[in-house]
Amino acid sequence: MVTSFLDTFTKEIPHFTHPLSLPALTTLNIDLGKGDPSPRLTSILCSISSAPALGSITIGNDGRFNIGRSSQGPWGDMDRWLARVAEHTKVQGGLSAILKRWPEGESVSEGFLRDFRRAGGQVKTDVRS
Amino acid sequence: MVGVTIPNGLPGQLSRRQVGKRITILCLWYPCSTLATIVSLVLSLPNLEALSIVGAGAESEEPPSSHPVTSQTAPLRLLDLRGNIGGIGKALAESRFVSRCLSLDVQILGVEQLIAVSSETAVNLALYGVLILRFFMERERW
Repeated sequence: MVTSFLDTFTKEIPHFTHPLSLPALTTLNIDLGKGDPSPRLTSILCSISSAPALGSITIGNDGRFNIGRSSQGPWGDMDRWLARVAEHTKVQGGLSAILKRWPEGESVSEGFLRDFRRAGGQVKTDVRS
Repeated sequence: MVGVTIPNGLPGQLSRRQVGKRITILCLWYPCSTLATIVSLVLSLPNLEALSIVGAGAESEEPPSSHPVTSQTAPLRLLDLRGNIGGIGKALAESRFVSRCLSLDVQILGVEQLIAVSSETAVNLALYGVLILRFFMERERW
C-alpha cells in the first residue's frame, strides 16, 4: 500500500518570518518518493539558514532523479539551498549529498547539483534502498 | 496501538495513577480518537522517549488539555509523525515538544514549528514527501 500526499493537499505554502538555525544537526534524510522536490519540501529546506554541523544529506528517490534540468525548477532550488549549506559547513571534509536508490551502473551528470559541487559539496550515489 | 479508539478518560487516568511515568515509547498508528485525547495522552507521559503517530486523521477543535498534565522533562529520542494527523503536529509544537531526532511528513500541519521548537537539540532530521510503508522497515534503524 502506498499513500501519496500531493502538494495540492496543502492550501498554503509555509512562510517563514524567522530563518531557522540548527546548530546540532549532523544528518538530514530526504525521501522524495517518486517525485521531484516539492514546493513544500523546498520551502521547509530554504527556511534552514544555518546548519554548520551538517555533514551528510541523504536524498532518496524511487523514480529516476531528474538530472536534465538541474539548474531550474525544483532541483535547481534544492541545488541552490545545498550550495548555501555547503558553503557554511564547519565539518571537516565538507558536506556530502548521497543519492539513494540510484540506478546501478549509471553515473551522475556533471550538471546535476552544479552549484552544490562548486560550493565544495560532494555528490555520492548509493544503489541500495 | 494500531487503529484503536483511545478512551477520552485515559490521559487523566494515567496522570492520576502515575502509570504514565513508566511509559517511554508510544506508537499510535491510525488511532481513532479526537485531537484533544491524543495530545492529552502524549502530554500525560512525562518520561516519554520516543513517539510515533501515523495517519491518525484526528479532527477536533476541542482544546487539547482538559486536565492537569506534566511537562516534558527531557528531549525525546525520536519524534515520528506521518500522514494525515490533523492538528497533532501543531499542538505538539505549541506544547514545546522537543526531540533529538525528527522524522516528519512534510505535509503535516505545523511541521515548520516542530522543527523550530527542536532547533537547538535536533541532531537528525528526516523529511518525507510521501507516506510509505518503508517506515515500518526503517524505524528499526532509529
